[in-house]
Amino acid sequence: MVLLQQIINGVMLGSTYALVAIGYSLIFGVLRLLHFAHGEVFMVGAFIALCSVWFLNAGPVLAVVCAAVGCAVLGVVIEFVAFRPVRRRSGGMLAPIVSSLGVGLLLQEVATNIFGADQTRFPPQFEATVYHFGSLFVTSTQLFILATSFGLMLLVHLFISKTKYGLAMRAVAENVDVAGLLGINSNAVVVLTFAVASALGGIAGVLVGFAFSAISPFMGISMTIKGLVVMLIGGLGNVYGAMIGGLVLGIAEVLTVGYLASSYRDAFSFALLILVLLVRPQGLFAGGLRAGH
Amino acid sequence: MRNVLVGLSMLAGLASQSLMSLALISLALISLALISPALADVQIGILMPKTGFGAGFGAEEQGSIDLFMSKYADLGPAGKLKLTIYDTRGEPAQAISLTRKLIDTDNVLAILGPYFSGESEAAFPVANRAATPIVTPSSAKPGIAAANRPWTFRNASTTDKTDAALVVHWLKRQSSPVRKVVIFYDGKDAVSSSDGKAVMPAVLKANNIEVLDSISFQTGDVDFSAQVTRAKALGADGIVMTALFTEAGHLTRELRRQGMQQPILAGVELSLDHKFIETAGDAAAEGVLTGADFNRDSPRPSVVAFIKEYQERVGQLPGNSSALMYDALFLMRHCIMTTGVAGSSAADKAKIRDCWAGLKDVDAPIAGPSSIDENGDARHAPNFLIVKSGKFVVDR
Amino acid sequence: MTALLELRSVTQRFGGFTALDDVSCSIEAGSISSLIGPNGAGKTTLFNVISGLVMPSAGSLGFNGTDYTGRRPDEIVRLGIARNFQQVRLFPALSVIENVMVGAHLRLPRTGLLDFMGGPFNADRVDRLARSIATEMLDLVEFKSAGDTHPQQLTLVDQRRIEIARALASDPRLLLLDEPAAGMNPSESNQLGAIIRKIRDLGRTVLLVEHNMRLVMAISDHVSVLSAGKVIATGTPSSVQADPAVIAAYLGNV
Repeated sequence: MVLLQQIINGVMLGSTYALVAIGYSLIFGVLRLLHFAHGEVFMVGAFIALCSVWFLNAGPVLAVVCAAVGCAVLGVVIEFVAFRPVRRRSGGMLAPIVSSLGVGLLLQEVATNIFGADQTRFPPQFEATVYHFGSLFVTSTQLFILATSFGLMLLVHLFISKTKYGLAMRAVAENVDVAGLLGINSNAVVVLTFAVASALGGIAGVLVGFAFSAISPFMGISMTIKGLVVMLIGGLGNVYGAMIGGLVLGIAEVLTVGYLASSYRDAFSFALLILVLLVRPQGLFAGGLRAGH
Repeated sequence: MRNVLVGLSMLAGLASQSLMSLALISLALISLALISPALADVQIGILMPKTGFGAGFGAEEQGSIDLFMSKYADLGPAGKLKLTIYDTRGEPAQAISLTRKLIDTDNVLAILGPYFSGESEAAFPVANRAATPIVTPSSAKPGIAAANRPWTFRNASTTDKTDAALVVHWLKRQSSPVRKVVIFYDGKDAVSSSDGKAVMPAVLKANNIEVLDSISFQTGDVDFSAQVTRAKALGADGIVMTALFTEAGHLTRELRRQGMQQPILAGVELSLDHKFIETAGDAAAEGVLTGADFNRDSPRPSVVAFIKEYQERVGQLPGNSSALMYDALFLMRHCIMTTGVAGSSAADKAKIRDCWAGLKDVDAPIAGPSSIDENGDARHAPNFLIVKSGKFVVDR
Repeated sequence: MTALLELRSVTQRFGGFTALDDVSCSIEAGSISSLIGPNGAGKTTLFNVISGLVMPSAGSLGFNGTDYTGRRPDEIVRLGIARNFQQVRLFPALSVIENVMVGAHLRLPRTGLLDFMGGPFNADRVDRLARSIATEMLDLVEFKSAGDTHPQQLTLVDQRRIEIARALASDPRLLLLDEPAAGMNPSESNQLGAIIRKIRDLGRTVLLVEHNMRLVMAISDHVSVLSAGKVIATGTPSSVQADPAVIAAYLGNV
């Protein structure tokens, strides 16, 4: 029973990792670039939701929608400000990494100046109802998180495999030049990718805010790293790998804390990463933006 | 200084008229003399977390510094008390380099700080080697000052002293007896870690309490579900946590959410911060017992006055960290005044060291009679505080 | 007949090398035209210029009366020009039918993101439309295998067919084919010839770069000869074949 409860705990944690990592993977899949401000987009999502609760008296669903829309816009702005100018130059991988790190720091500073460095949280009406089943328990917040994150994963799957934009995204991911010669405006696809990825990241931020009542300007830092680990475990740029990888990492972390010690948590995550890379260097799933088969 | 002189001599070389250059140099020297501090002032360095996860503590300390300086900056014949404040961000590495900077560059008489035990552990040896008095107002991990005699002190009770009284009080007030406890501790924070791993277990054992498990988490964690699920299966009848206020808040919240309603004892690391209650929520925090140097409900006139003045100046209630810093400043000024030092010479520093080492029943505004023991640690009787309806109240 | 594509004094330099030197020519609507010439004559470069992959150093490009010099490749596709590649460049991670569906991108309704937000049913409608276009194009090029296989499992000949189908899926007025018969045996290239004629008969114009002279001579209405970046001859297949300059260029004794 304890193990089952720990796995439930892990799935909760992992589903938010998965949402962040899907965004990472979309951007890496399409652009072959690491978006080091993605964790901060996640953080901004939580704050947008908080503001929507404060000023619009939003409920959980409206808060999620506000965060998704706000972060989609933010993601597009980041693409125009931090990625597009340096992508045109021949800076290789380094220039976009540095510029996105810079945007991340900027967002952290701005959030610190507006909201302060301390943790804040959603007001008490967002307090979860707890349901006990014998010695097991789930909360209404957890059910909301599960429904939202798995619902979004399904939508991402449908988007990538079933829509013309998803197909265009996969084509650009495979070969920008050929996609252009087939009538696809690759710049528009990149903007769309940033919008979708950032909306997912923002929603993950809200869900984490709901789940752990902790919103702070620094909550994105560890997410940037975890998202990267999940992407490497799942397979670079593979959206399905990011989904599974997120859940695997979440469960692994919780089991490490539950049965070993919290101090081993990050060590264990990286051990898992190294193990996966040794056995399957391409990650659990092959790289590339793919539709499931 | 040296750069300025080099620059000046280059300027002088450029000026064709020697008279002109003479005039320039004397002008520059006069202006230098005007902007450099008056020799009579006494320089004290302060290390505290102004940014990072400890920024809240730093803000509490800053409130006390502002209040204190508005009242007591004048040292009489010794001139004025001047503070040089640096932000350690709560990081031991920063604390080390800023301690060096205060001693070597700013030439301070003594240092107040750093805030955390981890920082103090790192910075104390530096000050001790440089023969400069350093006083942490807050660090509570046992043995840090003892390991760095004779130049280091602290104006906070160590956990080994407070825990014994705290545990006895906690056990005594339970209606159904507590025999088996689970300890949760922050493995990353120096004082919480030593308290949860060594100090608390020893005190609990001395009171015949069985420790079923010691479960760790890390500063900055927000998800405590795994730890609580692990503890839930053990059948403890009491919970002991040594954690900073944010983590303690999340942990308490998760304990109650998973249905663990056992009485909770929180170590002094909580620092009596109201954000603990905000984070946990009033309902979950209800009944949590903790200890602190500061008793906000104390009837002592100097405490009442301090709270009133602090609130007027800062616009908030002072916290435990405010109180500790205020007393530390008071005692430092006491030593400057009684020894009559007026600079930062080795002899002056030695006088300050001897003053701190010999403090006995000096009437500090908040804690009252304050003494320093042979280990360089303060002796305060801890106050017991319990959360009632979203507030810390004194538990007698 | 009117000129569908017009190149006016197109010059393309790469560093000090002049790949195309003052090339002017026009392609008539509804024709099959071929561009031949020795290796390195600049044929593929000319295709890259026409399809917008490279910007010409000088000169201008006109399509259907519009000057489109300097436009992006995807805008040129929108004008109605599509192409394949000499080295097959299919998307390896996409199935055969998905590869062709990408080609139909511009023909699918512009529904914006709302299409996706509207739920899977609406998306499914677009998906079905894309699939039906792709199936039609694969039928047109006489591709017989299953659509859900991946291109790398197929023969080069099949891969070339898929690329032609993908280019056709955008419903182009002008189809540029870069050595479509490379690696084909005589019966396969005959079949290809028939397919190209069928494409022309559907109202499309075809510009072909090809080394297979039998195919070129059999299906072309016009032939231009490119040598060292210059057009040295243009005319009907038989007149070009008889041109001494062409013979000299191919034999290499100019």
